Amino acid sequence: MTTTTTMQVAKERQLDWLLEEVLGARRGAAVRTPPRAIPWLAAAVALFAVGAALGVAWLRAADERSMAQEPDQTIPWHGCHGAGGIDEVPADVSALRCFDFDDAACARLAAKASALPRLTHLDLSGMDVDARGVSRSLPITDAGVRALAPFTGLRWLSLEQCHQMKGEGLQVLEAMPRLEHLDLTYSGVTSPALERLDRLPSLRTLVLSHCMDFHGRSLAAVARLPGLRRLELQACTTARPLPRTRGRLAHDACELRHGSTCATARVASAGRPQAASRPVAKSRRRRPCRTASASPTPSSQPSRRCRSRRCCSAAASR
Amino acid sequence: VSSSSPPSASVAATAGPPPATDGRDRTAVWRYLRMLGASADEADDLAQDTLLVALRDGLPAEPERARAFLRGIARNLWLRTRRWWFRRREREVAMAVEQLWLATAAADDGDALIARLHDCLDGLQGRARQALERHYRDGLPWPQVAAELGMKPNGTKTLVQRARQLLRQCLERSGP
Repeated sequence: MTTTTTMQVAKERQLDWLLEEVLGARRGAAVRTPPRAIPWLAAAVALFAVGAALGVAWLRAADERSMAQEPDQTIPWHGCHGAGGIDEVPADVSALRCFDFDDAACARLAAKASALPRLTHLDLSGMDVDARGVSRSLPITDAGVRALAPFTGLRWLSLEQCHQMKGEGLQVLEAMPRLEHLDLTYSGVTSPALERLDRLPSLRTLVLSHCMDFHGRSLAAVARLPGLRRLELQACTTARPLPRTRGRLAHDACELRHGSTCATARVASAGRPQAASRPVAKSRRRRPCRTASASPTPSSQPSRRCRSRRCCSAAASR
Repeated sequence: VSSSSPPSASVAATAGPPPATDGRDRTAVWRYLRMLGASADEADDLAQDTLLVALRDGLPAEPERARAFLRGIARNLWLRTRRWWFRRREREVAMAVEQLWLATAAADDGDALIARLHDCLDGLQGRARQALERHYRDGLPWPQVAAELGMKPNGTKTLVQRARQLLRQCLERSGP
């Protein structure tokens, strides 16, 4: 406000005072009170809150979308066919898909770990086909998995189709603090190995589909994984968890957002779905069941997402 | 009930420290507060608070400095009652009011101004005088004044603006 303007305002107020005093005004308040800004402030706060809620919801949805069930197709995968192809792996590779690997090839690849500092995605599930067009079984065992210990920067690891891998070698994963995705589909992972997985604090996705060598009680250890958001147990027909395990799953795995359990074992005596066939969290993107008769009954699905421990307790008690 | 007249009661007629101010100071402070924009009720309260502060802290010996000190207290108390987002603007207006007060009313606490306005109002006749009296004396809102005068609200607004301009010019012409 300029000096002239303020002086004009001062003169107006002087005249107001003089007129009121001379004419004997019965009312006061020469200065007009401006409209209260509090409603606007409340509206701004409400708008900000709505925006924040929408932003958080969008981020959570984006986070779910970003959790890769399959290898991210946008990542430039480099293929390595057999032990002979290891020498051709470029030094700046970040995602490596290996075909026809065995323990020796794993050890040879691990020997080159220092030369692959950017490697974060490793897929050992690739299988070449023979002359008859039949895929060869992967001969990777726990020794081969143990050989992966130098890759401490891995975030994504697939050991799919490693039938001979029983899980003892998975201890080396404890030296990979950034590991977020572990695919053990069609592996021979056993209960003791699963019960050690709770030492992987960063693990967010665990795929145990078609694993038939572990007991359902091991899922209690899986439920203790602090950041687990996706658990796939499709066709784990030997997983027969105890009712107590079901409660632990529901109680501990509060971050779990997706559980896929089609064709998983049931308890025949009680006629109720097992814990493994009863996802602890609402599965919003569940894959279609291959065996319709083995799919979980609709009544076994929790009606809401499990977000808080209190909510989980309620879900466990249901 | 608020009154447009300045209070005449003196401060601190009770036992205790000797009174540092008299009723004249209170009138001056009250008028100064009204010129700052305070309503009659606000001016009553703030003048009381101003004199209490002066009693607590004491006043300079020289009358001119004492008056300036009182005006400073009153001004600060007035600004404190304003909302903080208008306080900067009000501070600028208060500085202008201080200049205007020193130029026109400091010598006699505004008595001469009031006398001159009486004279100026005598020269104002017709609907303009009527509108001012109905609003300032009887407290009618402007729309009601317009209705009584049979005018549109905008017409009354223009009429009053012209009357006020004439009064200001009259005050400045007759001023020192």
